[in-house]
Amino acid sequence: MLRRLIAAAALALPLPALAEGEVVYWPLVTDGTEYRRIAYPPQAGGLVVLADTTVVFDVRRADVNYWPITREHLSDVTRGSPVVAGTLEIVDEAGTVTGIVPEAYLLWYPEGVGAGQAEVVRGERAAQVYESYLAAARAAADALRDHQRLVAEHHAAVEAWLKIAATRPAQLPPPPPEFTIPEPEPYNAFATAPEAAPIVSLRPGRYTIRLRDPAGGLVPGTERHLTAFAPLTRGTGFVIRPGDRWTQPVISFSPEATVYATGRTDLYLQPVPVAKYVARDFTRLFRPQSHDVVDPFLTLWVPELSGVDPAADISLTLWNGTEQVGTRALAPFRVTQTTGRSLGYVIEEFRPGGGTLAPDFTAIKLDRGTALTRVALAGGGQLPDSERHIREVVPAAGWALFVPALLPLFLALNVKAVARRRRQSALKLAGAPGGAAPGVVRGKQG
Amino acid sequence: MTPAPRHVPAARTVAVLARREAAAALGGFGVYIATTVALVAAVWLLLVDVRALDVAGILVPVDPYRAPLDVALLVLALFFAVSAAVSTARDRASGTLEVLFYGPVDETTYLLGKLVGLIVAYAVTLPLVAAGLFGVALLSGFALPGTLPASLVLSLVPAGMVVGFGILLAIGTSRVRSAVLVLGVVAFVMLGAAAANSIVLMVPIDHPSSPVLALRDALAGVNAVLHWVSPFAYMQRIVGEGVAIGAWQTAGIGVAGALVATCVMLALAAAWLRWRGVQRGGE
Amino acid sequence: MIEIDRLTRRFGARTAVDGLTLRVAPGEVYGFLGANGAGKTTTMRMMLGILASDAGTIRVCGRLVRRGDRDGRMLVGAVGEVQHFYPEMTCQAYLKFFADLFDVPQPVQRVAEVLADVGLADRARDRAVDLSKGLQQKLGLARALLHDPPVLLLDEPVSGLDPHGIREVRELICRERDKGRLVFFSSHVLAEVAQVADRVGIMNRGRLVYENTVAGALAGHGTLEAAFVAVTGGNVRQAELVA
Ligand SMILES: Nc1ncnc2c1ncn2[C@@H]1O[C@H](COP(=O)(O)OP(=O)(O)O)[C@@H](O)[C@H]1O
Ligand SMILES: [Mg+2]
Repeated sequence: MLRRLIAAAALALPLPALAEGEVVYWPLVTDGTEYRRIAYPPQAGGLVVLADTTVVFDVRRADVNYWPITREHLSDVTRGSPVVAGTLEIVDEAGTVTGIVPEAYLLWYPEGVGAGQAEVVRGERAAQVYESYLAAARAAADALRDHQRLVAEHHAAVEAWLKIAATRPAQLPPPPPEFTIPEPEPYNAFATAPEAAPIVSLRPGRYTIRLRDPAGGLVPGTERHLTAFAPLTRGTGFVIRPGDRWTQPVISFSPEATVYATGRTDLYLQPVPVAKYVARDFTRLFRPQSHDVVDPFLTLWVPELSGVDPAADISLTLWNGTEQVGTRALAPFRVTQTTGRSLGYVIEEFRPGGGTLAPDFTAIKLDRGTALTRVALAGGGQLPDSERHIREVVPAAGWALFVPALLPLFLALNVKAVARRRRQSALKLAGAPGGAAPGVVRGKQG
Repeated sequence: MTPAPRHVPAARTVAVLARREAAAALGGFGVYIATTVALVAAVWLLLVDVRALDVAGILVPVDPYRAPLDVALLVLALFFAVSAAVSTARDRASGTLEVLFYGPVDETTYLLGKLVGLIVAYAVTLPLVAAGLFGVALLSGFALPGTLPASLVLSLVPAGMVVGFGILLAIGTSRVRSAVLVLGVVAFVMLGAAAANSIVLMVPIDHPSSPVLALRDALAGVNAVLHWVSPFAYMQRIVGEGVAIGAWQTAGIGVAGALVATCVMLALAAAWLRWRGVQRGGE
Repeated sequence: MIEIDRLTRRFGARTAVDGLTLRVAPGEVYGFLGANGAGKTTTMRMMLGILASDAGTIRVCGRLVRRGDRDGRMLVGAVGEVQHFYPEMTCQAYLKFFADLFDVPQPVQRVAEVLADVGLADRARDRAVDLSKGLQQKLGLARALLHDPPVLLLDEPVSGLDPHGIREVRELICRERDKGRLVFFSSHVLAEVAQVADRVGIMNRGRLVYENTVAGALAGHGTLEAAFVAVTGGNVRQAELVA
């Protein structure tokens, strides 16, 4: 709270002067699905990384400014910012110091930037990957250029022939042959230029990090705290697509949350590996100065990229109460538009070899009308915590729900009425001749 | 010399005062109306999920009762804050406070009696809330969360803080009307600051010199203080942000904070009452 | 027994009680007289320990009166100038509440006893706030008697009552005195005092300006009014002035 107060007080002041040439940690970190460079100016506090992932500790010098709108210290660190060279020292909680010397690395996107998972390629392989990447990219560019030249030549020949044809000569030469050479496959893979920096994968825990220069002295301003966090637990989530609106799936990542369904449509369940994190750590992984999550005990389920292999031998076991009512296997499905139907599309099981393209999605289908209370995945034991409770509900009309809400009022009215009746009968008793003698405490009261 | 006077244990005094307080609170209609309003508000919020399920055919709410329970307990908290303030102010205004002090009652036993009595009255509303929600669960199909009993039981702690807060605000007033007014203003500021904070957070800010920015940061500062001071914030924290989502540590810290805050408020109230005296309208 | 020594209480610049010294013996009925604003209620509040004194001491039955001394209150039964009740309570419930508060043994029986003592037995089930002023005064007395205290403090017990009510309260005071209780009551209606008090003290602007047995006062001045006018009008014989 104090820090928040101080931050609030600091905000009342004018923008602080630019801090120049600060040490900015600029690590390359991943959340398990993508790599990002995150700038940590000195004011950003300790570093947060995912444990057991490769982290590149790039350290630069850059100017720092405060941005009141997001309440963050921003640095203008770029690839051109001067590198702070040195050996990275990592001190664990026991005080053990590990030195990490810089090594060559690059970020390799085999399926292209923004598709698939990136990989940090280290050491000598970095140079090899970069060379082959350059060669392949160059070859692809050359092939594309060659193809474009052939296309241009073909166009020229067609133009020339058309010009001749326009003069309506007695003898028209045969037209150029049809152009059939296919365009070369696009080359999407990408590699960043090789650089050098300390690289390490850390076990979960708290550390202190700092840089030691080649002369053996500590580089001033490089000491920071670092937290490496791991998932609290892993499990299996589901993306659930209702049959009548398959493009609007709902997610069920937490095993504790019950799935409610009205039972009017089929459900398609797509298993997804999920991990549970401390929400604050996970938020700070990519936004270290975030103020969004303050509570250190909040948790969060997030999907992990290593998706379920569509070919995997996975099946869903279905229960109704304690009785097992069947199993359903993972299957590919295809959505086709229909004409004249009110729904507009049908979802059918995909059959390969039918000449059609790939399936639209792979899922486990739960037919409407199956009485279910619980489902769980089975399949080589690789999908833990996949149990889900399912409740099929036919909700009452909205107004009916207010009836039980009036219960306390009914109760009060009844109690009051009974009390009044009892008081009146007591009065009558007291007033009646031969009633209890004055001074004698009557009834059960007292 | 006459022999030493008979001694009445403080716990006995507190119990007798608390019993009267609880009976007075439960003997009126107010508490039942408040419980009904709380349940109606809860149902109204639950209808959001009921409708969403109806539209989508499928819904995976983490806990459909989280927001409804939050708002229900907030309504009850507000009612008991007002109750505590009114009954404290009425004791002085009607002169019954001084008469109590002719007997073996001092500031501490008086305040504890009031606190315990109103907590007991609050506790009596909880089964009603639970029964109402149970009926709602049967009709809506949305299962009650397993944490509901823990939520309700732990809500006794912030409820106690709410009562202490109402008492403290009323100690300084001599009239029921001014007690309600003071409490209304303070509760409005507390709940309003939280609401204004979340509204301002949604306003896009495009320039560092924007006045919205200053407002946002001022509200953030106010809310940072209220986080530890406002009994309504504790109610929210212990139930909605704690027990309801299984964040037991958050709930535990909230409970500890609320207990400390309640003790502080009672001590302040006792000191203030001592300083003001117990006579009617006395200053 | 009541022993008050040099008791003083100020409200701002005003001295409500000024160096009051006073003794009342067990079994005595003491009439504490004075015009409105003389400092009677202030004195009695200090005797109850609900108002702090600025100087001086009070002992009741030998026990020093201190603020917040819960045990000390068990020695005193007090009735205030105006009666205040909980609107939802019957007379019986009201007395039962205080019987429990004083931890009276066999509370239900005791409540019936005191109700009979003050003549309210037939009104037990009526709401206290619905009673007439006189009956409310009696209910207050019943409350003060619940725990059988050796000392009764009554602030203006007969003011505002009709002659019938005044007689009843007077009888009640005599009866309680006969049971051995010390009765200390205040009044600004002098005529009522002569018939019931053993001794009177007259307060004027916070000071006890006259103290004598009723018989002595009547002998010296003829009537209490004459004594009152004499001492408050400045025409006081030295011998009767309290040191
Ligand atoms: N709580 C108080 N605050 C300020 N002045 C007071 C208070 N109580 C009494 N006084 C003043 O002290 C004086 C004595 O009052 P009080 O003891 O009530 O007189 P009495 O009971 O003899 O009529 C009066 O002048 C009154 O105004
Ligand atoms: Mg008076």
